[in-house]
Amino acid sequence: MQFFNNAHYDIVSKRKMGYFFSGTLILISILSLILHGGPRYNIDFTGGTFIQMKFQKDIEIQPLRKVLEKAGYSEVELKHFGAPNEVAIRAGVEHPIEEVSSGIKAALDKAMPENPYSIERIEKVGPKVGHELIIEAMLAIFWAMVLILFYIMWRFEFKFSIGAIIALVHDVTITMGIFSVFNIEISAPIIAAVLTIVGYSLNDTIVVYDRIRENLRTMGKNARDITEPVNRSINETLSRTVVTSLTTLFVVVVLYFFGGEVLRTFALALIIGIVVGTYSSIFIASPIVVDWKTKKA
Amino acid sequence: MNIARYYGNAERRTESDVIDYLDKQSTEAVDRSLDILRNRIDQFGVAEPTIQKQGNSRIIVELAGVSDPERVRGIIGKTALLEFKLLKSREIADRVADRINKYIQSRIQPGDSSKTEKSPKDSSSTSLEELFSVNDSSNSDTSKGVAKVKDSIFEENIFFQSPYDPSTILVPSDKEEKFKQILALAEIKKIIAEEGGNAEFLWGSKKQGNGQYTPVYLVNKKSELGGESIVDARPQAGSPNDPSSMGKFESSLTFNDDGARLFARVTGANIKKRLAIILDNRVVLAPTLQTKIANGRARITGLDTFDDAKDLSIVLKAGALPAPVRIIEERTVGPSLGHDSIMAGSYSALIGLIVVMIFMMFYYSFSGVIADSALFLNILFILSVMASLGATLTLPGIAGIILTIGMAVDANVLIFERIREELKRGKTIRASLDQGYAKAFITILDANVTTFIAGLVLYTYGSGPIKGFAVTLMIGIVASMFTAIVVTRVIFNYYLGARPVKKLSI
Repeated sequence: MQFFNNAHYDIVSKRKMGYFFSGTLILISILSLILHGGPRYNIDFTGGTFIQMKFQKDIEIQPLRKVLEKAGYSEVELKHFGAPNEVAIRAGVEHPIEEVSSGIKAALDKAMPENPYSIERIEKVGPKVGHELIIEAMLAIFWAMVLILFYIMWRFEFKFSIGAIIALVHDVTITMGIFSVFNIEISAPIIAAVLTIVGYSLNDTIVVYDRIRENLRTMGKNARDITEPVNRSINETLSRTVVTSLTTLFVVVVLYFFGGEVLRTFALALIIGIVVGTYSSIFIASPIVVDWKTKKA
Repeated sequence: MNIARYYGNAERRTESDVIDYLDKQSTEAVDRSLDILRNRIDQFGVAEPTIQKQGNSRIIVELAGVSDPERVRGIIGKTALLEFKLLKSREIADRVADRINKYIQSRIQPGDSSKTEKSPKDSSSTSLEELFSVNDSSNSDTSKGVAKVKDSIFEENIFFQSPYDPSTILVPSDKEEKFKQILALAEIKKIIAEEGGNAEFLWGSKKQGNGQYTPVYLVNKKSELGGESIVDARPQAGSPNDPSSMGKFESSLTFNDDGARLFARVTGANIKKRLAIILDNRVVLAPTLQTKIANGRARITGLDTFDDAKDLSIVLKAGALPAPVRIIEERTVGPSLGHDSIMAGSYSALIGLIVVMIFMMFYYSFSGVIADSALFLNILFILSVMASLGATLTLPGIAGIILTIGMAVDANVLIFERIREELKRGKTIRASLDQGYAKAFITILDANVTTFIAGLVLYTYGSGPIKGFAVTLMIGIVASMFTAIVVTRVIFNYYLGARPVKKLSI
């Protein structure tokens, strides 16, 4: 069994289509991020309190909101979490983290004693911690990119590292953009997912680059036209790229469906990242090297 | 600014000496806090707690199977600064209270209406009138509101004697804040200093009269004895012979030799006076000394439950935290959710593993089986390395393993694709294998190093769950390099060496 046996797709010559497609996606992502006023951070970043409660009987959001409003928690976010008898409550830092959970518990105990609940999860994050996390996340992504850039410069050439970094920024932007379009919250695990995407997407890109380097060596260094070696390298690695992406996708999709509510958005970020990362290593990272090389040569 | 001029001494002459000293002090404070927290939690009795330092001034505490997070919070957060201070005599306290009340009266005499009318609007500064009004924030600036303010001032009695115990001064609990602000005024400080000498007001830890009143105590600023002289503290039930402690619980303290000597001297010299037992600047108890206590023992009585007595004993015995601890982040997962998520995560990992294994068998036939055995070994490796590092298997950790499953086969995919190419070029099986492994190795190395860099950065900047994810990812990468390259090669060699193979199943 083999996919793409003797593949000969002329990807490099159709690269403009790839650029156009990616450009559109990036434009949509940036527009959505601007319209939403940046990524939607959860309490890991903004600070605040998150409470997940499981009621004995199914519960409607509206009456629950009334109870909390009466108790002075009018700005909290309320939604079902996974099941009709489970509710997630999110309060911002305007309510001190020491008091929210006990206040809400007291209000619920008083107002709806007929539907007892159990606390499944409480997360309290001080505003300072949240703020630091944003800075840490930014630093993490920045340093990951710088270190990887240097590694590729050392192992390959500068032109290659430019292609890899562009592909990387492409992947991260589109992943964040899709999250923004669907208004999904960015939590600390999502940042971990994004960094994993960084590593994964590069993994793909480097496999192709490695082949380009090898093919340039064996086919003789024809600096004028590297279109053919690049095209051949993409085709030769196509089978591997797709197989690895598939195996990784299998497990992440399983995680999405069976991993539970807590891991669902994490898995979603990885699914998006893997699809986008695979696409970019074929249609963006290597074709950019061609453009860069021809221009400079 | 030259800090050495202000804070230097014989040993620390230069600015950098002072800064080094301060740095050392603050590091030591965190390290000591870590030890003390560990002690407290050990005595609390939780199985396998994790207590780690994070960064310069943060401590992470992870506890499993705690049914009452509130109690843990109390034990962790308590500074547990225990002091024994003498109470000022009732006469002095009464005089001080009297003078402060008079002072308040003098400041709120009617007739000074211009001031009273102005004050509610002037919200930026805290004038006395505002402090003393009942509804200081909600009163309107209508004339009625002003009149009400005046009335409430006259009614206001910020101090009064407890009806049960005339030696105790009470403050209405809802006026605590106001009272604190009054105490901070220079004039009041002067009154206290004139009457009481080196004295201060401290709050009682227990409210009285259905929680409506908080007692305040006028105590010597000087501490007679501190918590450092305690060698043991034990919870116990109150004595049934003593009506005041019957049905209550207490913590029994034992002092060390120096502490016992000091305690005997203090109690002997101050018979009939009251000695306040102060925990974290709140007066827990202020018993009257009946006799000289020479045996180096004391009891803190009147605790409501045995758990209260136990928790207090734990914090007293483990010692005082050298620096206040604030909880800045707290995550609690209920037992059922924790269990459900771990199960869901584990199931996903298993299903994912099976799907990948089946796919590999279909795609690479027998070679796929070899890759599968390497993958299986890989997961075993990750789990055992994690176990030996003492890492707990958390949800992000499981996610890391799941991701590794997907990526671990990548090395074998790279190798097998190469072998297929070499075979297609008509090379022998042996040569194809050699070439496939050799050529793929460089690619695998480059690809894995970059992912490893991402993992390393995650580990450096991430905290808590992200760190756990990064650790499993990195272990997975290293393990997969070994299993996918070395282990599969060994199996291939054995397979080819055992009998002549015409066609490689790949």
